Amino acid sequence: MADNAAEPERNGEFWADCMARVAESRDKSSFMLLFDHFSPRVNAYLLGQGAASSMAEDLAQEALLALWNKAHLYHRDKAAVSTWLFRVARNLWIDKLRKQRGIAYESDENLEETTDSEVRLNADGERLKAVLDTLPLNQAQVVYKSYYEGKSHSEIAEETGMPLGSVKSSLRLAIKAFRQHFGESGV
Amino acid sequence: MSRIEHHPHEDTLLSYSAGSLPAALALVVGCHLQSCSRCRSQVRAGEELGGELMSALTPKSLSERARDNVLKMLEQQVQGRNSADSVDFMASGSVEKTPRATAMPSLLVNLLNADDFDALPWKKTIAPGLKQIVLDCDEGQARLLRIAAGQKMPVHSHRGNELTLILRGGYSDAVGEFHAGDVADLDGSTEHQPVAFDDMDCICLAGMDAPLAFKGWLAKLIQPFVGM
Repeated sequence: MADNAAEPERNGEFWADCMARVAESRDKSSFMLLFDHFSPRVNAYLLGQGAASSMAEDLAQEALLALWNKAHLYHRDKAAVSTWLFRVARNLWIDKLRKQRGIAYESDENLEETTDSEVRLNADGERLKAVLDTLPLNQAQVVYKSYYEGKSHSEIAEETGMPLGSVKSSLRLAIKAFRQHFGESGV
Repeated sequence: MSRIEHHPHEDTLLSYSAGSLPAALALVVGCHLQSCSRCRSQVRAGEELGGELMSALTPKSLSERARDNVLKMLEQQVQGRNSADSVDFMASGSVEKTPRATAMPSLLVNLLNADDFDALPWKKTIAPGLKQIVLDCDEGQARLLRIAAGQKMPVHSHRGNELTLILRGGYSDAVGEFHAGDVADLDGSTEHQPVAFDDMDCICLAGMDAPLAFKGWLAKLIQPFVGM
């Protein structure tokens, strides 16, 4: 990550604190910290999904504005800011370009729904990337294609020439590896 | 909920989290989640993973204009905030925490604009004792199936991915018994022969992603019922 060295303290707790200040006092400077950190990542995510650059920029703005408008719905004990924003960005993308999948997801207003899983606020992208790097290529590839390219299991099988069953088992092994690195937390 | 014994596989749940499950399959997972806290937790974990993966991406900054634009919009949003709030709270207040197993999942209610299985326009099929409703879905195929109580389906098998969620009643096959809330997550070519329980019609939601493995019209009718 290019800019990581400049912001060593900016972990999950830091972003959750920013959200709290946005919710409580409509603090614009906290919001702009969130914006400057997350909007380039949401933008990169949307571009990876295949959004045209103008569309990605529009949706990234929309996702961050949702964060401003719905900050009062955010609960730090339920989700990391990155989780919350990922869900908002994913749903925005599905609504815009993959309308049909919109029939399958609850609206963003239900983001704070209760789950039993423990939230790992301190997990960050760097650690995860390190785990990704240790995975065998085929496992990293199926995770990458699932999340970044929005590809279904069948599409991945077709593109990579892997049998469908291998795509699925690779994903399961990757899940297992992530669990080992990040704790069980009932996953 | 402990009474649910059959769940989607974890790779299926991960793809749902990633937003990469085809619509027909995602619909089945979404409906299952509404009655299964175990799978909701797994999906949430997959979304955490998504958030972390997104954080690990090489950042691509928005234009300066976009940044200015958002700053400008904050002013407007501050003023309009109160009215937007009440809408949000009403929406979040409608979440049913413990839906009954035989109630129609709200995602289906939204899709069908109806909440009573018995009042739906069920269409007869060529297979004896099997009625269906094809759901509008442009990624894969989704349909509601209604199997008469005690009815034995023909032996069949398929290729591709298929998810079946029991909404009312249930059936048994070589894998075991499937009750309301259970999901059969199948990708194999194994044959199976579901037999609906005797006490009531079995209603289920089936979604599949693959092009049909068999071209015949009879196979198409039976296709959603999955290869075990």
